[in-house]
Amino acid sequence: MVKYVIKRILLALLILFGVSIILYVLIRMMPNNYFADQYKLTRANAGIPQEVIDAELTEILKQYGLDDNSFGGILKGYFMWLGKFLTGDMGISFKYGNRPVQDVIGQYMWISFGISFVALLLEMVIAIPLGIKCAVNQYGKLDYVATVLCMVGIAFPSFFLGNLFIKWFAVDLGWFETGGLGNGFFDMIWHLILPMTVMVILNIGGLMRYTRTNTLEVLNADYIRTARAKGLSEGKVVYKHVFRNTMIPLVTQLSFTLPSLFGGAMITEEIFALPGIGQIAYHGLLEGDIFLAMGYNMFLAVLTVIGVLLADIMYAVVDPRIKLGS
Amino acid sequence: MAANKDNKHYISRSESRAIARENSRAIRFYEKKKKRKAKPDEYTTHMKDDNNVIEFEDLHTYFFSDAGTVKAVNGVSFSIPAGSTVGVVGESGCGKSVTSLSLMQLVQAPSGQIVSGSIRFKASLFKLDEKGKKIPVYETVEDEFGTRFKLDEKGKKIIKKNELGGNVYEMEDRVVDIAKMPTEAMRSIRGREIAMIFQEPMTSLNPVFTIGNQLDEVGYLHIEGISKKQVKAHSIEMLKMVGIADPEGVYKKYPHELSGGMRQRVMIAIALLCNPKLIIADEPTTALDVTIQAQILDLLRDIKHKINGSIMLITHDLGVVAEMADYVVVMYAGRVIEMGTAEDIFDHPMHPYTIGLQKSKPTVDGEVDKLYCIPGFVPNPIDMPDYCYFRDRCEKCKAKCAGAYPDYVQVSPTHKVACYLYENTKEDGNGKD
Amino acid sequence: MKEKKDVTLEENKAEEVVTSTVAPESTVVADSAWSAGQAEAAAEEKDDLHGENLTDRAKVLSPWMTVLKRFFRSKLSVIGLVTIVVLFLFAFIGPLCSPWAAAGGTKLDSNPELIKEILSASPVTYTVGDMEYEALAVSVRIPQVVKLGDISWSHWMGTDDMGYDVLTRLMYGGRVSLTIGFVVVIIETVIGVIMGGLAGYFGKWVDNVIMRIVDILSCIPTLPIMLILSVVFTQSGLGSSISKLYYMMIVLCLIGWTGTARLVRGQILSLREQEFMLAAKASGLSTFSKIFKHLMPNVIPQLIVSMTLGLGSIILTEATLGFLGIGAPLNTATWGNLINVANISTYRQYYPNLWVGAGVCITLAILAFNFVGDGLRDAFDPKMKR
Repeated sequence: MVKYVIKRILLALLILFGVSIILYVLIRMMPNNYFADQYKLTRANAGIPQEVIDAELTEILKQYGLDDNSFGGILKGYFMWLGKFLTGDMGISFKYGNRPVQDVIGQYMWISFGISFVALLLEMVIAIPLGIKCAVNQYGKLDYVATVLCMVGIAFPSFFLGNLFIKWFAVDLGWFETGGLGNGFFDMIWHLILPMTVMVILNIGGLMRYTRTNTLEVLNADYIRTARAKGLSEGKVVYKHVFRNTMIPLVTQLSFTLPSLFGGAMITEEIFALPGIGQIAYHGLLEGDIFLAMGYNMFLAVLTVIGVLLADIMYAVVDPRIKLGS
Repeated sequence: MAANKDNKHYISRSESRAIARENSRAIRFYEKKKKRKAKPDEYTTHMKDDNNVIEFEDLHTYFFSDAGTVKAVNGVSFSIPAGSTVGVVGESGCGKSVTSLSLMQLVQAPSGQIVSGSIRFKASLFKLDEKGKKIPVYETVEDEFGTRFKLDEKGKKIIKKNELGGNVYEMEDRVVDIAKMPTEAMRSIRGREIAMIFQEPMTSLNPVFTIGNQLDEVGYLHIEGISKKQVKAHSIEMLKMVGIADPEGVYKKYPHELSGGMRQRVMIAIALLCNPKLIIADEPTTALDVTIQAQILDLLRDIKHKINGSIMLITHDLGVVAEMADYVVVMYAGRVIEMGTAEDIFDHPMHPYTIGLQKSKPTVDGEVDKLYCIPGFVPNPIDMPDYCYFRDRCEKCKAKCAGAYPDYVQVSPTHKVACYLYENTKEDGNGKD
Repeated sequence: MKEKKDVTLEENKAEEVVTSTVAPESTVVADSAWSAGQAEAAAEEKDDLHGENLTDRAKVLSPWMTVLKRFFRSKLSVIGLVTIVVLFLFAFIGPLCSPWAAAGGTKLDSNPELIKEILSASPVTYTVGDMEYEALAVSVRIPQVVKLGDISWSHWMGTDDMGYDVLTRLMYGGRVSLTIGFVVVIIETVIGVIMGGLAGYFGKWVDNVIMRIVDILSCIPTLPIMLILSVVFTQSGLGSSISKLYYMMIVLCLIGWTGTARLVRGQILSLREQEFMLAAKASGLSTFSKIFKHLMPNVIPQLIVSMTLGLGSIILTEATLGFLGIGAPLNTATWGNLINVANISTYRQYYPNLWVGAGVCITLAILAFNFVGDGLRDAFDPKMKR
């Protein structure tokens, strides 16, 4: 078990190494002067004197090996970045006040997490029972309606639904706020209703259909027939025997939501002007804040790798048949 | 020619639409029937012969499939006498499993439905009061004032307990027609009065619960008022009874930690938990290797004596039937073609199909160059012909066979066969059972 | 029925001489005929003769008919298919019917009637300082462009901020979005099949290397990468050309093939374990034909399904890029670019006709492809049979 986990972690490190190389090369494909120009512009807007900015820039370019755009230079720059990354230094974000990238991510991550987590809970509470109910009454009216609605929810692009909601519910009807976080707890909830509804509508379909498919598979299993042959009521059959088996793939699937849980929903956050990590990263990426770009993408990659690992471990936890490593 | 043939074999769009429409109508009708609320009187009948526990009469179970209605069980009639083992034999797909699943109302819904006929079962059911609740039996004391209810400290009547620790309720014997019962009512028969052992021990136990959990479940369900400790003790007792050496250990294990034979023993233990009147064993040994097969069969024979019940043994293995069964029912393409005592079937097989089956069995002493094989295939179950289904494979086929499906011929008091060959040897006039 | 039997008899005669011994239906075949030697031959004949009877009665569905039938039984699949056809007609035939369509894109609605003055020129004299100037005041007919026009008979969905007819732009946008969807999905699938096939077929280190690449690529977040690339391409001077979109789609192909590769590899690995592969080996089939004869038919249904579902997601990705303004240059009509105006709150609020249409088209396209993909999956998967 321990051996297996260690092996998986080593493999994960290898994957992350590959990811970081690709990301670094892509980011270095940006022209050098773009970074310099953006840096100067942003810092000047922050009211820093020109000579201080120039000194800072020279220092950063040298410190992170950004001054040389040849192949050897990029390679050197990569290893300088990697060395700092491994010691926990992800560089500085000029867009967000020359603060260390890890601080920026750490600060805004929790806003995204809070929103995504509540949305995920809502999705689970609605989607899982609904999926099971639909599977039990396969081809019934509820099944049909729920399936169609789910498909519609999946098909909606977040930006379209978000803008429609803002137009209708926030401006035309004036029920909710168009964006931002507001002040105070209840005001925040008020502000978050629309973005959360959008997130739930977008993601609920996938979860519900996944639950439904798995439940259908379990319902056809021999042991469900055994349970019925024992004389158990249909409710007991479904909520004890079926549910526990449906949970196995479901828990695994939920592990994969880890990146979106912490990584933020870029578009929804942008539309509703929520200062989550997604929106922060979006503007950073657009404006050539290369350390933030690198740091954010690595952050997502690490989350993805952890998610996969977590899924494997969860599988072994939920399913007594599975032993890690065998 | 080829194209012509193709068209003949494939269903056209309009035909398939008609089938789909017909199917959904039929399924809705039968599902509604199963879900209805029915008073016990609606499905109460009486047995033709009081010695039987089960009487199948003209049972039809159909599957409404895309390609048409599959008459998996097409007019099956036979009975299971109390305390006997009845073997149901036939090749795969002949409807023997569907017959047993019909008896449990476990036919794969919604496509599979019991369409008509009756399955009479002599059940002992809980007596219900006018509100539909079970009537408990209370502890009584006898003293100088006569018989009174015993009361606890709070002045409440104490419900009588049976030897397992469960509440005792008033029971009544009632003959029910399972084919007409709603599923809700059927539940108190499943697992308590009729228990079933399935073919695949590897997949018949829920992989995520311990053996103990799956055993206890039945105890809690059917023995009301039983305590946790008593359920566990009873479950372990059952595991011991089916010959598991380390019942406490197995109780805590998960199914995947047991071998196939052990799992089948666990299945039998589950079946035995409530002392059922009838155990249906659906190919209980098919998935096991030969030595384990023998052990499981011994066990089945053994427990039959212990619980004093009947066994309906479904198998395609004539050896197993010969060893176990008192009565044998031979099925072919959804119908019973011959039935009788084990001696009748094995010593004097009459139907050409039964004879063929016997011939195709390998023997140790016989010197045969080549094992006999019944020619041809089982007919496609959709849209069956109305003549004898075996006609096209039969080597003794005669002119009469072109006519309607043959009636049963009673060749001896215990032996019946559905074949025109024996028409003239009829003992009595009435054909059909 | 009688007729058919004769046909069968003839057939048998042509093939085998033994047929002459076939007994007519009503004859009892003597027991001796079934003795060991003859049993087999006789059984075959009897099959042919009598078996015909029974199989004739039972009709079965041909495999493709079964798939089609199951597909068309689902109303949703049919709705999806119809929607796709309608969207295609709208995008590819639609502009031919639009008065605002021009060869390269949309014509401006320049309405000359808006200016009533006729061309005229009258001399005007004026003095600045001590100099006297003479000028000609000319009134010219300037094409007046109907910007942000309302919904009217000539503009069913109004005009946009540049004066283009929104409906026509929507049609042209459909061309780009749908074409990109198909091209990307096909390229992705080709790469995926090749890589997955190599990994599954050769195994060992090839498998290891390819699967690690797959692992790495599937860890790379798509949207952030697209953002970075957009900056890179814009800075490289591609910002105003449609080829920027093409380059981004190529990158999308390069990171999007991992799913297909996993699917193909998994299928090949599981099929390799099965008995019929051993049988193929025993019958001396070459490795190559083995793969194509036996493995491909097993993979193709799944590929079709994943391609159909993939189409929806590519269209969504393109639209997202357009919405964020990092896809095609904004003057190019794509569905994503059309919805981009919703970023500006005035347009979002007061000119929904500019962006709602595009949003509806994107949603419909994704929905339709998902319906069809789902329908196909159910149709291909025999387990889903009711």
